[in-house]
Amino acid sequence: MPGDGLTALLGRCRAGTPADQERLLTAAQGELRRIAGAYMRRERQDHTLQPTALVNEAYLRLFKEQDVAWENRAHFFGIAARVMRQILVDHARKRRAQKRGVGRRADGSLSKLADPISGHDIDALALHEALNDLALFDPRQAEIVELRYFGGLTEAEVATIKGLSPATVRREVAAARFWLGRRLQADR
Amino acid sequence: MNRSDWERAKSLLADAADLPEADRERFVLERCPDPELRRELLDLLSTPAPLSSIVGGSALKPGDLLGPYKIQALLGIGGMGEVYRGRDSRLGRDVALKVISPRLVGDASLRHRFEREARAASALNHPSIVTVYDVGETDGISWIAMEWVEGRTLRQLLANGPLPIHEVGVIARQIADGLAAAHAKGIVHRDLKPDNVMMAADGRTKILDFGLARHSWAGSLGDAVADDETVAAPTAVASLEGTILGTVGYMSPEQASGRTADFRSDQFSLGVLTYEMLAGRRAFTRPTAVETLSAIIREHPVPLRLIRSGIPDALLDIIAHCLAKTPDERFASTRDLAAALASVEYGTGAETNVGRIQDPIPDTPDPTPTPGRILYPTPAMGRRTVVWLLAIGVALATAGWYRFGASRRAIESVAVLPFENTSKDPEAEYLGDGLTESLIAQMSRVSSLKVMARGTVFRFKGTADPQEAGRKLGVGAVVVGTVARRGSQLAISAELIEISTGIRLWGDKYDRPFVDLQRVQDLIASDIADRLQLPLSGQEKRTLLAHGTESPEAHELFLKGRFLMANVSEEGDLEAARLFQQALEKDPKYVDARVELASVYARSVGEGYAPPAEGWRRADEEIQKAAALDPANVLVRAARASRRFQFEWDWAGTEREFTDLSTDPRLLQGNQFHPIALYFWARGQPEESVALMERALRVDPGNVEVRIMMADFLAHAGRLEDAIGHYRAIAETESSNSRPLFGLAEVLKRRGDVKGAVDALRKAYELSGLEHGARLLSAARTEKDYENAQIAVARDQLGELQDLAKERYVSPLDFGRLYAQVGEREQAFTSLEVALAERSLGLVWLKVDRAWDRIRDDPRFTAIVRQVGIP
Repeated sequence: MPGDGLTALLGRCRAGTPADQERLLTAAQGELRRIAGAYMRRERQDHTLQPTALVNEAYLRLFKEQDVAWENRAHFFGIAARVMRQILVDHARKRRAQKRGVGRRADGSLSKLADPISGHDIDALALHEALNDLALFDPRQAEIVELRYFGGLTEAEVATIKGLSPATVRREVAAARFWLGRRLQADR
Repeated sequence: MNRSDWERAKSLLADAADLPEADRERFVLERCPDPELRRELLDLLSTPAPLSSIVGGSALKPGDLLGPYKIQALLGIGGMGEVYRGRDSRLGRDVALKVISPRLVGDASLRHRFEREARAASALNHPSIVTVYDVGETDGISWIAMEWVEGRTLRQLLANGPLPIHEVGVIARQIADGLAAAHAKGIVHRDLKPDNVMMAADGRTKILDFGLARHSWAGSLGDAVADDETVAAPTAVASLEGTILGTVGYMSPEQASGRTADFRSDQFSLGVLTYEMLAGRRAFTRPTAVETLSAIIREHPVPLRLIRSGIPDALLDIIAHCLAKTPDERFASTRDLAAALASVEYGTGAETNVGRIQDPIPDTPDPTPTPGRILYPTPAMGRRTVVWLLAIGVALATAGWYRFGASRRAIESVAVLPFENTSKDPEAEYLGDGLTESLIAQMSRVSSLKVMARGTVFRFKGTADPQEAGRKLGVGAVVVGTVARRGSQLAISAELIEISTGIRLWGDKYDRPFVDLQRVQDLIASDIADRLQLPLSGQEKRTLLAHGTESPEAHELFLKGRFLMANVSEEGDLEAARLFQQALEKDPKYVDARVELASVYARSVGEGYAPPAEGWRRADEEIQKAAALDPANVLVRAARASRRFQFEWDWAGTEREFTDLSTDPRLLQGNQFHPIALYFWARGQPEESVALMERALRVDPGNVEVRIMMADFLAHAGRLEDAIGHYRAIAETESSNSRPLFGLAEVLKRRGDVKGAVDALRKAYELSGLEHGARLLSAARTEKDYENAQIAVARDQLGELQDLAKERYVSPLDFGRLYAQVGEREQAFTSLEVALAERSLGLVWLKVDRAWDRIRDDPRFTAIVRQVGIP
C-alpha cells in the first residue's frame, strides 16, 4: 500500500530530514497522479476538474489513521497543491500538443480548472505560467494562490495552514486576483 | 515595479477590492500620489478579473422590467446570481426573482441547465416547497420567478441553539413530505441545508432551490463555496471565510466522494439537518472542508444520546437510518421516511412544545397544550419584518429579522442568584450559599427548565441589578433573596423576577425556626415551579421535593462542609471531611453527605496531597455505602463511574455508564459532569468532549474550568482558530489566570505564530510567578528559544518538587511529567513505573497529555499506555 508508507514518511518528516521530505513528495505525487488518472478515465458529466475532489480523495486514501497530526496535514495540503498543479499543467500541455499534431480532440476534462469562487473555468496552463511570474517577485502570494486554486482550499483553510491571519490571506488573494486577471487577459 | 512598490500596490489593491467598483478609481486617485504606480493600479483595477468573486454593480435597478415583473429591490448577491424582490403587475403580487449572474450568462450550457432545472422545479406543487411561478429570459438575462415567503431560514432559527424536540419532529416531517413529493417526480434536491429551508411566518416549513443545485458533486461544491453564511451588503465583496465548512457539512457520503447522488442523498442531508436541530451543533464539522468530507464518509457523529435526553427512540432510529453511509441502507422511498417521521410519538412531559411552530397539517395530533404557562403578549403583525431568503448562494442584505416566535415564549430558563446574608454574623455566610445551591439542585431536577449552574451564578454574588444579571445570563427569570439567622430563628425572603419586563412574578417572606430550613426551601421551589407552570412528569413531582436527610443538624453540617469545599485547600478539605463525617453521625443514611465525603477524598488524590491507594480506598468505602443506600442516585452513579475510569481503568464498562449519565440535567450542574468529558478526551475523541462542554456551557457559561476545558478540547480536535478564540476570551475576563495563556501559547505555536506563542507564554509565566521562564522568553525569537524556556522552567519545578517530596507525599506522575519535559527519559520511566504500581490519577490521560511528547516514541511508553488499557 503506498498509503501506509506515506503516513510513516509524514511522521518522520516532522523530524524533517531533507531526504525524507524528498521521498514524501515522490510518494504523494505517485498517489495523487494515480487518483487523477482514475478521475480522467471516469465518465463524468461535468467536464471540469475540481481540485478539492481530487485532494479529498487523496487525503482519504493517504490518511487512514484517525489522528493525523496537524503539522502533517499542513504539509500534505502544500504537497497536494503542488502536485495537482503539475498534473494539470502536464495534461494541458499534452492536450495542446495533440491538438496541434493530429487535430484529434482529447477528453479535455483536466485542462480546465474550476474557479472555486465563481464556478467559472480557468485555463490551468495560463494560470500556471502567470503564477510562475508572480512567484518571481512575490513568492508568498504565489504560494497562497497555489493552495487556493490548485489545492482547492478556502481562504480560511489557507490561513490555518500557512499560520497567517484570515484577513492577510484575504487581502493577498484579492490583490493577486487583479494582477493575475490582468496577466491572463494579456495572454489571450 | 520594484518590491516595495508592489507591497504598496498590493495593499491598495486589497483595500480597493473592498469598495464598490464605482468608488475604486477615486480611492486610488486619493491614496496613491505616485503617477506611475497610480496608472498601473487603475489598469489592474479595470481588468474584469476572471479569477473573481468580486461583484460589481448589480445587473438591474429598481424600476427595471424583467418580463412582466417590475424590480423593487436587490436582496442579495451570491456566487451564481442575484435575487431581487419584484412585483407582478398583472396579478398584483410580490415575487422573488432569481437572476443568473451576468458573469455566467456567457456559459450557454450552464444557462440551459439553469432553465431546464428551473422548469423541472416549477412542476412541483407542494406546501413544503417554495413554488416556482415562471422561468424566462429577457434581454439575455435568465430569470426565475418564485413565491415570496416571509419568515426566516432554518439557519437563523438554529442560531439560538437547539429546538424543542417536538418542534424538530414537525419541521423534519414537513421537509420529508416536500422531499417525498419531489422524489416521486424524479427531482432530487442535492443541496439541502439550513439555508435552503425557510421557516415561513405562518408556521410552515418550505424548501428552497429545488433542483437548482447542479448535478455533479463538483457543481454543488462550487455553489457551496459561494454560499456564504455571512450577511453581505449587495455591493460588498462576498467574504468567503469558513464558508465551505458550513455547507459541505450537509453532503451525503456519496456526494462527498464524488459519486452519483440520488434521492437517498437528500435523506442523508435531512438526517444531518434533524441531528443539528436536536443537538444544536453540526453532525459533521472539522477544521477544513476536506476533513469534514472525510468525516462524512468515514465517521459517525457524536451520539445524540450523549447530547440530549428525551428524544424518542423512534426518532433516533430514523435519524440513524438516514445517516447510513451506504444509500441502500437508508429508506427505500422518501414516502416511507415521511411516514416513519409522522408515526413518532412525542412524550408529553419534559419536552413539551411551547408553541413556537404550529403544525398546519390537520391530520396530526395537536402538540400537548400547555395552558396557563406564562406567555408574553402577542404583538401586532407589524413587528414582523418581511424578508426574502437565501437563494443560490445569496447572502442576505436585510437586517432586522423577525424573531420567530419570540413573542410567545414561556419562561424556560432561570438563574438562582446567590442569596444575600443580611445577618451581621459572617459565620452565617454558608447559609446563603447553601440555600442557593440547594435550590439550584432542586430546580434542576425539572428537565424542561434550564437552571444556570452554581459556578456561573456565583459570579454574580452581591449584584445590585438582578435584571441585568439575568440579561447577561440569557435567562427568562431570576430568583433573588435574602437570608438572616437570629439565634434559632431564620428570616428568608425570595422573589422571582421576569427579565424581559422586570416584573416580580412571585415573592414571599418566611420567619421560621432554624430547623425548618429545608421546609422553606421546598416552599420556594414548589411555588416557583407552580408560578412557571412547569410541566412536571410524575417522577419529577416526586423528586422535586425529595431531601437527602430529615435531620436539620445533619443538613446544616452538610451546608457548612460544602461551603468550605468551594475553594481548594488541604486544610479546608480536611475540615470539610470532618463536617461531613459529623453529618453522617447524625444521619448515616444521608447519601449527599456520603457523596461529598467521597469527593473530598478523591480530591485529595487529584490534588496530589494524599497517596492514591489511601484516598481511593476511603472514597471507595463511602461510594459503596452510598450505593447500598440509593443505587439509582445519579450522583452516586457518576462518582462510581469516575472511580472505575480513573482508578480501575475499566474503559469499556465506563463508556456505557457515562453515555447513559451524560444527558442527566442534574449532572450538568456540577463537577461530576467533567469526568465524562475527560473520559472521551482521554480516549482520543475530543469532538465528543466538545459536544459535552457545549452543553455544560449552556447552563454554566461563566464556569472558568468548563471554559478552559472547552478550549483545550477544541485544540485537541484540531480546531485551532476556535480554540484561540476561546482562550483569548477567557484571558480577557480572567486576567489573573495563567491557564488560558498556557493553552493559547501552545496553539499559536502549532499554528506557526512563534511571536504570539512567546508573548502568551511569557505572560503565563509572569502570572504564575515563574520569573525565570519569563526572563528567558523576553529575548526569545524562535521556536527553539520557546522550547528551551519551557525546559528550563520544568527543571526549576522539578527542583521544587524534590524539595517538597522531603516533607510530604508527591505523586510520582508529577515527577514523571517533569522528567519527560526536560528529556530525562530513564527517570521519567522510573516514575511512570511507580505511578503505574500505585495507579496514580492522571495515567488515563497518557495518550493526550502533551507533557509526554518527548518520550512518546519509546516502546516502553506504548507498553504503559497498553497497560492502562487506553483504547
